[in-house]
Amino acid sequence: MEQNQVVKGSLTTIIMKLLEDNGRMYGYEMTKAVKEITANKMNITEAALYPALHKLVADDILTTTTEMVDGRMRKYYTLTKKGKKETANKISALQEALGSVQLILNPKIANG
Amino acid sequence: MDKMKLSQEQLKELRYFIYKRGFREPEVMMEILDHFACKVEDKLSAKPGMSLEEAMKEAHNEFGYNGFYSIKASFDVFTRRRYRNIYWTEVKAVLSNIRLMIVLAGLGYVVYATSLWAFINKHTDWLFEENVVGICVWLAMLVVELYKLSQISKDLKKSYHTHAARMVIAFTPYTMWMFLPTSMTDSPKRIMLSSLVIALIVVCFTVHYIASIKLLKEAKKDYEEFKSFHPNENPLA
Repeated sequence: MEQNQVVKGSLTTIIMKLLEDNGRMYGYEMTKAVKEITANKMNITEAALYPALHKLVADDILTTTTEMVDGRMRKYYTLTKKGKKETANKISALQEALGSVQLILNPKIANG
Repeated sequence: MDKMKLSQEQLKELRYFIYKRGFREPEVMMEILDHFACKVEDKLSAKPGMSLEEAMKEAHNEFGYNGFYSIKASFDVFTRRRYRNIYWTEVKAVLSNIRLMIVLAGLGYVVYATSLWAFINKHTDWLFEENVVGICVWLAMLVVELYKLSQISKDLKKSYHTHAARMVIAFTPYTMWMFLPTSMTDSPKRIMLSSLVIALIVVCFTVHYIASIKLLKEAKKDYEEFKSFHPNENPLA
């Protein structure tokens, strides 16, 4: 549960990273991928995922294509050019932030 | 283990489940349906004996306290935000187009000069005795707005995307009308200022009109893309 709170703050970066690695994905596929990669330790809820996806589309970070799959419409999300550029920045910003948190949580280890 | 796929009949039940909860626009239904269907399929694959109803209930509970509403709410908010972005991008494009700006400046000057002439020579309309140029501008804006509405076909009026686009562009011209200074005056300063305001409103309205047309075209494109997958307007079909 606590992990989910941490995920919320970095959700857009997680989405962008997933799309950078996989090219295009649909909403449910993203939630499953996060569960699988983290061995069920992290869970992205729909209430958090869709606002994040819609915001990224509105900000021109992601673009969508729609296809008919198994008798229903499926929306695939892909990074735009602008999104591809921003992904690297977002990842390094998140890594820096995590490094700083690490310094606070384990000051001795971090300081050697 | 093979993943179970929902049949068309089962998908119909899912659509009805969503519809019953108040999500009736086909575009919103589409936004919810695939995620919901994937969840239900996973549940039925994991427990083959489970009934469809049970699977739907369990899957719906996993959407959290607000159910499908969080998807609909964010879809509404960010569709409008995307359209606002398209609108303002077009406004910027018009403002940075030198040729168009020269035409607009010319239009503004013509309106300013004729309005000045009407104020000085006290040319008023027959009904309200206001500046005839201001009243003409007011009427022209009204005609343009009515024309714009008439261009949206019955089909498009029902479209979620066109509705969202119209929400973005609806208020601007009406607020502009409130500032149209048409009452006659003898003060030279007020005459110049009023004519300048009328000219500025004409220029702003023209830019707004160009951006609105672009936005309505984008909304139409979104609607047509949606319709190519979902020709039937009935969300339950």
